Amino acid sequence: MATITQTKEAAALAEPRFDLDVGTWLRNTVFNNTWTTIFAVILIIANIIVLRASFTAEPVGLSFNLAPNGVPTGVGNLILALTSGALLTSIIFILWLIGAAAVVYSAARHHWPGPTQWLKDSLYNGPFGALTTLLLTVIIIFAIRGLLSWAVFGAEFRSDPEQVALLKPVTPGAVWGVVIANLKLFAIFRYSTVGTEIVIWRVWASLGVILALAALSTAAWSFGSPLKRMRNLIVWLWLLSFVVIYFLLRGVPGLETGAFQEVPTSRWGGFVLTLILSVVGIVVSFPIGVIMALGRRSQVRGVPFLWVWGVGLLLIYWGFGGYPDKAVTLNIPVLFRDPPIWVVTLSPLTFAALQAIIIIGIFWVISYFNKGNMIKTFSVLYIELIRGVPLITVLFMANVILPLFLPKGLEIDNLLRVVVGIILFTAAYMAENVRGGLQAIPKGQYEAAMAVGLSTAQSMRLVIMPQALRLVIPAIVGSFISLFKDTSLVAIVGLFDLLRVAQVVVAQPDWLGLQKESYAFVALIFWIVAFAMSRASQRLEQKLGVGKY
Amino acid sequence: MLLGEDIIICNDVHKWFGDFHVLQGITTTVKEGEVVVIIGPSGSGKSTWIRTINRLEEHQRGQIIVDGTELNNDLRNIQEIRREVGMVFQQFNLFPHLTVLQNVTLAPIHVRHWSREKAEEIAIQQLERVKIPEQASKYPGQLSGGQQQRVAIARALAMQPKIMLFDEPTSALDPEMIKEVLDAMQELAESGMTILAVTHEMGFARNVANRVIFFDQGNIVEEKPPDVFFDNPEHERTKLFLSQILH
Repeated sequence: MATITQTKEAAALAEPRFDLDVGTWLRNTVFNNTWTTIFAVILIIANIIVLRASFTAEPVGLSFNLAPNGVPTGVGNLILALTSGALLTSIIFILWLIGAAAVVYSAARHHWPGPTQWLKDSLYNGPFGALTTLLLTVIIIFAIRGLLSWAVFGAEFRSDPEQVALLKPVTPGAVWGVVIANLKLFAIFRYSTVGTEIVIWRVWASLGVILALAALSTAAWSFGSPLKRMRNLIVWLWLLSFVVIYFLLRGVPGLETGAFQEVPTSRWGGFVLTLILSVVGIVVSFPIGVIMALGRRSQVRGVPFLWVWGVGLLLIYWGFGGYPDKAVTLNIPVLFRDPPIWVVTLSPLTFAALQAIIIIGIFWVISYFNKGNMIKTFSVLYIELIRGVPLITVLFMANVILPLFLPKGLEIDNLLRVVVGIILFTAAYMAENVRGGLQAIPKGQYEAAMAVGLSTAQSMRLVIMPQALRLVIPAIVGSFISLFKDTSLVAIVGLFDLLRVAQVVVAQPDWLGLQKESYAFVALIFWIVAFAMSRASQRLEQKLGVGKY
Repeated sequence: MLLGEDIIICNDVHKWFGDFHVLQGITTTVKEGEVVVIIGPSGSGKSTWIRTINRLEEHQRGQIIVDGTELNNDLRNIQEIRREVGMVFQQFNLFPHLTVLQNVTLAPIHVRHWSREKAEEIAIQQLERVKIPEQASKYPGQLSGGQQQRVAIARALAMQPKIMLFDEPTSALDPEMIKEVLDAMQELAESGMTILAVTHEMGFARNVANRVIFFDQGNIVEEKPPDVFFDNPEHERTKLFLSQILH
């Protein structure tokens, strides 16, 4: 048996075979069943359509710099030649054919040198792989060509409004002047208007604070750093920096001139506002989410007399709104009655009693569920309520309805209300993410932590949370990224975030009709930040995951 | 061996899981320095019983007094007893996100409030005692099952407990790793520690235990010194059980 195999192998090595069983190969792949045949036909048709379209693609547009008065310069001609649809398509197709030929040749010789093995494994993985490779290569290369044609070759970079007004009609690509001329609006919007340019240093100072802390953190958190003992301090400094930056940007209340004049939050806008909303949202919603997650999983048994909570709330309510001191007339609509309204006049005492019964009753009912575990009931209600409502609704609530509930005379800054809305919204999602992590921790971890004598709080902080949070880093960062992008919804309640500024910019007479450029720029900024967050989360995962499971 | 005062007193301990009556009136005492091995068929309540001693399971009737403190709903009592009672689990339950040394020092630092230096010194002593000081900076996931279980023993010992509970410490181990864990337990027993161990290792029971308790259906059927227990079992149920496990 062994000798036969050996002789076969020796024969194979001695004279390389050269045979290709195309029939069997096609039968096993393309004609394997009806669906593979249909799929192959579709792929071939798609390839033909795409190749034809790309072969006859129009020449790229050239800007005034590359083709003054419509006559291309030398560089312009070179670009036209290199990006010609016929040329590009032919090159792609010929390269693809060469690759295919190399793979077929290797298949026929039953011998795979490195490069063809790679080609076979990655690009020419069967007939479908080969056809998809061709299709995608053409689409990707022509997409890049189209993008370059619009954003670079055909684009105009001058930002002088008068020149742009002349060049706009003849420019085939983007007019980036709209972005370049309005960078300040994009960055800070109307934070410093004409006459108040003097306050702009405060934005730079805030940026300086952040960069300094970032540098300090990088130093302290790098491996084997002598600043390791300062880590706690740095975390506190970060939290303190929020307050510092707030007062720095806000200025001295009431002061109307000078470098420290007040800039009301209604003038904050642009990228700075987007950053403030998302950073504050992220930092504050995270601990609230953790608390809600713990609350939802808590196993506290019913505290007796939970209606005490109701009494407390009632007293707070009376404290804000005042104890009813005059008779109240209620008009209660009643069906099948003429007139269909039932007018009841309540004495102050009765009205107060009614309020008390309702509020205490609500708390009594709440404490009735989950065996009186009101913390759990409250968390569940909160999470499910917020998750069932779109962010826009929460923002509207914060902006329009919240002031109705507040006592007269107490006004809360619009920006603050919106921030609170965003925080409450994100916290609900965060809570569910964290709960997912908590559920993945085996019961044995809780038992081991208890058995060595740790208190519940200690076992959560030292044993359970570090493991649970690490498990849900991807989900948490996903929530953060969507929070960051959702900040653009604050435009609905009258704040000027980055995206809203993009609209404002193209509404200026000088820059009318340049929405594409404006939005593309904003999209790029959003993408850069979101991508950075995503990369940071991956690095964090790697750093925390080393050798631990 | 000279045995001391009563350190664990159980008086008519009952527990129900829903309708299932797991512990049906356990009454026994354990003396200081005594090594008690608990055996019995699965579901007989033996694990549940030792878990009531550090209140991982709550008993619903009767009285458990550990080291002079009665276990009741008072959290301070429970914390106090858990400080004095170490526990080793079947599934090791090491903290996977901490190194071996951090696993062992966690409770001494945060519960006993020792300084890090003192906690680490004692941790190294205990790791030497179970013969794996060289693994101190590794993570549990990088160790074999036997090594993990010995770390778990060191973690419990680092709190310098008066009582050690073992809940089937060798059941999740590969056969060749059982001995290293049993050796560590035997060394511990010889040092005079009070030990309650649920185990199926009959050799350990025969050689090391002062007393063997046989559990069945939530009751103590028989408790005897090991030589008497294995050679002259009194009850039919014990005889049947022994005939099934001793081949």
